[in-house]
Amino acid sequence: VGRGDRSGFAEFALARSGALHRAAYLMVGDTQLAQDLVQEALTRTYVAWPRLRDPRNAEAYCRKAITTTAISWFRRKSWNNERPTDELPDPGSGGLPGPEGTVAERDVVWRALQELPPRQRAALVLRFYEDLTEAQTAEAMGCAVGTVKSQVSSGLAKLRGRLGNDVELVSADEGTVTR
Amino acid sequence: MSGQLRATLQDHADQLDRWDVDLEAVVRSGDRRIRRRRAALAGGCAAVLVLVVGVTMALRPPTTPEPAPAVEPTKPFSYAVGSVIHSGSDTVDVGVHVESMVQIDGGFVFTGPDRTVYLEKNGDTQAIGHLADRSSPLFASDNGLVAAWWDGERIQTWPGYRPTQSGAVVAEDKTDSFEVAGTWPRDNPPKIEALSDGHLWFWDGTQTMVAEVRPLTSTATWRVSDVAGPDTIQDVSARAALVRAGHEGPGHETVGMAVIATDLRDLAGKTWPRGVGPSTAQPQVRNISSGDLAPDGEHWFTQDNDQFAVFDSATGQRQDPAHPGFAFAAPYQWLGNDTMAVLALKGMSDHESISLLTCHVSTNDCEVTASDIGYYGDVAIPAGEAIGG
Repeated sequence: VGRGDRSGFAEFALARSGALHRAAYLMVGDTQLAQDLVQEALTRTYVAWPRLRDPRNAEAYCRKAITTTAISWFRRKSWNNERPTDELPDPGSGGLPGPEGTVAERDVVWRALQELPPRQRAALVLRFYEDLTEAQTAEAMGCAVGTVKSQVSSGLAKLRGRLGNDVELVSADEGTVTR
Repeated sequence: MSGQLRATLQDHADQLDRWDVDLEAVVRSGDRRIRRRRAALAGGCAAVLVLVVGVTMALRPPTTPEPAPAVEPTKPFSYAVGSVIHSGSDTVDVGVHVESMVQIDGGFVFTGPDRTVYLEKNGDTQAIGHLADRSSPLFASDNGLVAAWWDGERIQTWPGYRPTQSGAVVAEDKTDSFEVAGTWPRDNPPKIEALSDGHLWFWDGTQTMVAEVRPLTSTATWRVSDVAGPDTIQDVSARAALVRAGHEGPGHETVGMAVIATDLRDLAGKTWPRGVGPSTAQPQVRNISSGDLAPDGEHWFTQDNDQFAVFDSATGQRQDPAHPGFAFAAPYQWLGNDTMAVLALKGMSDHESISLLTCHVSTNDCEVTASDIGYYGDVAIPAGEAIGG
C-alpha cells in the first residue's frame, strides 16, 4: 500500500470507524467483540485498498467483512442456533405500547433481538439500522436477495413470536415496501 | 413514525461509548498480510503472463484440429471459505467472497457475489469478465487449460491463445469469446454443456453446437446433429460422451443415461455416425438424468436424487462408495481418473457444517480430507456453481 493510499485509507478509517463500530455492535451485542470485528474488517480493507479506489467501495467492502465475519465467528462458537430463554420479561397482555415505546420496553426488544440467529440479526440491522436496500443487504451478507427476504421475514416473525403481535416492530409501510 | 425495532437499534447505537480505532495496529497487521501474500507470489511466476503450453499441441497445423491427448489431471484438493481459497497446503485470501469456482492450471477462476468473474493465479487476483446470472455455471477443461462461461451475450473463454510462427501455442492473459445464435427463445437461453479436449459443447437456444477452443489452433464451430434438446449432453470426456437417452411420456418411461463413443478426430463426420448418437442410444442406467464423466471416460458419478453413485461406463455397473459417519454425500469433481472430491454432511438439517471427502473408485471408499470447514453460503467448491443460499 503506497503512501498516498495509506493517507486515503487513514482518512476513510477515521471517518467511518465510529459508524462501523455501531453497526457491528448491533449485530453482535458485545462492545469488545464489535471492536475486534471492526479492527479485523479494516485490516482486510487496508489490504484490499489499492483495488477498491472509491471510498464507497471501501465502505461496502468493510461492511461486508464485518457482516460475514460476525456470522462466521458466531457460527464457530456454535451460537448459530436459536437460544430461547425463559428470562425474557412478558411484554404485557397488550404488548408494548406504540412505536415510541419506553427505554425498558426497547430493552425487551433488544434482548429478543440478541436471541435471533446471527444471519437474521445481521439482516435486520442492515435493513432497519443501516437502511440498506435488499440488494445492498444481500451484497453485505454475501447471499442472494431472496435469502435476505427470508432472513428478515423469519427474524421479524421470531421477534413477534417472543414479543406478541401487538408490538409494532416495524411501521406499516416498512413492513410491506420492498426496495 | 418508526417502529420499535428501528427505535431500539437507534437507541442502543446512540448509547455506545465513543471508540477510536487503533489505526497503527490495522496498518501493521495489514502490512504483515501483504508481505505474506508477496512471499507466496515470489514462489510462483506471477510476473510471467505468457505461458507456453506445449510443443506437442503446437505442432498441430490449423487444418487438422485433432483433440489433445487426454492427460490424467492430478488436481490439488481445493475449496474456499468466504474469501480464502484453500488448495493443497496453500491458502490465499482473494479479498472477495467466493461464490462459485473452477480449478485451472495453476489457479482458479471464480465469481464474486456481484457476478464478476475473477482469475486467481499465483496469489494475484484480477477481474476477467462477468456471468450472465448467478445461476450460470463456470466450466474448466479436465486438463485445466481453459475456463469458459456464458456472460449473457457471448461465450467467454480464458486464457486467450495465440499460435506463433515457430509452431508454439502461447497463452495470453486475456479472454477470447465467440457469439452464439443471434436470438434465442426466452425460456431456452444458451448454455454451456461440456468442455473437454479443446471442444466446447453448448446449446445455442435452438440446437447443440460444438466449438473448437484453444489450445487447439483452429476455431471451427459446427452443429451436432442427433441431439434433441438442451441437457442431452451431460458431459464429454476423452473419447466418450455421457448423454440423456430414451423417451419420456406414456408408454415411454425409459429415460436414463448412456455413455456413447465420441471420436472427434473423425473430422469428416464431426458428429455421430447414423444409429449410434443420442437419439438412438438406449439408457444404460434408468431414473438418473445427470452425471459427470471421469477424465478418461471409464466411469461417471451422479448425485441425482441425493444419491452418490458411481457407474462403469462400459457395463453400467453401479457402486456406492462408503462414507460412514455422513448422512449425505454429493460428488462434485474428478481429481483424477480414480479419485473424486465429495461434499458431505453428518445430518440432514439446514445447519449442518460441511466436510469434504476424497473417494476412490478402485477401493469404493472415502476419507475425510477437510472436516467442518463451514456452512452453506460460506463455502465454495470447484464445481462451477454456488452451493447453498
